[in-house]
Amino acid sequence: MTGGPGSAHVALDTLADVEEGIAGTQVVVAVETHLQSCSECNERLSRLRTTRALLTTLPAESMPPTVRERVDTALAQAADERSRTVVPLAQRRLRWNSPAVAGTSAAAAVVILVGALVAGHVIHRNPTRHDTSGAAGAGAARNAAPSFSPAGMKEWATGSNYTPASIPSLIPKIVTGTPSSPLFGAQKSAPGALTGGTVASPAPTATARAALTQEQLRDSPQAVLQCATALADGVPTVPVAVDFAKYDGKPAVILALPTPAHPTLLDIWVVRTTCSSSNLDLYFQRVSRP
Amino acid sequence: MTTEGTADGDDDRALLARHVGGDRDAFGLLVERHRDRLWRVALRTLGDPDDAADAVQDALVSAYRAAATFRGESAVTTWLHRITVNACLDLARRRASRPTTTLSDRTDAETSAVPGPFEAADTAATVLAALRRLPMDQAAAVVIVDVEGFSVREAAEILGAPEGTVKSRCARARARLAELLSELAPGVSGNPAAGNPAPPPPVQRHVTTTREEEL
Repeated sequence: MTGGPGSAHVALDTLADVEEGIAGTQVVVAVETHLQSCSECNERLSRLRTTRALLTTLPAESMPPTVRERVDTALAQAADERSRTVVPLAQRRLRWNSPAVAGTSAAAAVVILVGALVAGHVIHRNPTRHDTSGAAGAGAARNAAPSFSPAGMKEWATGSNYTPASIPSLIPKIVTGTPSSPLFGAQKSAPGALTGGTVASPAPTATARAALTQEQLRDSPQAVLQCATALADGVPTVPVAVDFAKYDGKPAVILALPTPAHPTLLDIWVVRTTCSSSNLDLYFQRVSRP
Repeated sequence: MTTEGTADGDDDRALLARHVGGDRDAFGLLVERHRDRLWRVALRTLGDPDDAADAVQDALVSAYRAAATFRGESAVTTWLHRITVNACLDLARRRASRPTTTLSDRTDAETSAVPGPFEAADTAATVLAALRRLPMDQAAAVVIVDVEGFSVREAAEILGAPEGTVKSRCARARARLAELLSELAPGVSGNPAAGNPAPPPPVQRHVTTTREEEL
């Protein structure tokens, strides 16, 4: 019947499909008919139901104290790293809204801007709908010439296929190697691109808050910086290297970020679809810095 | 099972928002609410306490760092479970890709650790041992749905797979578990040992992720 060639009985897989409601009508009818006269298959069905019952009654163990301790330690370390550099959201907003931002260093303006981008605030503000100070702040930031340098960022399009296993061997190549040609060359002479190792783009507009696609990352070094900053939990971060390549055979952007407080390590992030839609699209691995 | 739209769900979202806003205590409170369930999912999916600890730690640190990317399209608990399941699958793949710990080695080690029919004194331990012999995607599905009680819809979000795929994986998993339990502990599954004279062949633990299938 459905138990395989030469079998008159119903296979466990088929019974499980019927129980789950994913078997076809004909199969369901045949199985029900067969069950009316087959004690062996009724026994199998009983075994299947018992199995499910056992799964639902497994004891609810708590996380062991030793595991709690190591998780808490790891989270405390992450908190410590964050606290050294992150400007609280309220302060970011305050500074952004202040006209005084026009007089501060351009680098500070960009830091505030990127932080606000990551937190998902400020950028959606339309100056025509807000108070004067907000408009003045936004205008000042747009006119500022951001000057924090991504000169250390190596840009690659190796097309290499990264996997969890190959990351430790591929990362040293993009971190210590020298790219043969600038990846963002087409944009370098245009406003809004890397120029002489600096970001000279205008401040991102409202569209920048949307999830950055791989194409956007490819088109704009500033998008790469925004993505890196988002991945670094809001800490303005310049990647050590970025590679437009593959992960498990599919197009992906590989970012090697410095690990806060750990100069001997690198945080490797793999952007598989978009940078900020959800961290579920991301893959993270920490490796030793080559 | 879901906390979506409930007071708990609202609290989860508030805690996550506070964390993103710079509140140092908020994430710890969120972890306190979910850590035991995340631990159980990792332990039962991976079958090894050390691996489960690694996976949960990786998952929670990832969630801590990437909290700003949470867009609120699902419940926070669903989001945390999905990160944890992904960490489990990534860890299993890393283990499998190590030259010194190949997939077959791991399978052999697991098989040797499974209690035999006459050693299985504890039903729960036997069920957990059987779970370890499932392919990873089936183990994750049946743990999320049957053990943890998530709906198929929620499980689909957590596993990043269509609902039909989740149902199919659960059905395969239950059928395989029923076989394994009758082999490992005939009395537990309510099936006489004589009813299953030929032991099933060893199962190679597959570490194919749901994301590979979906992307």
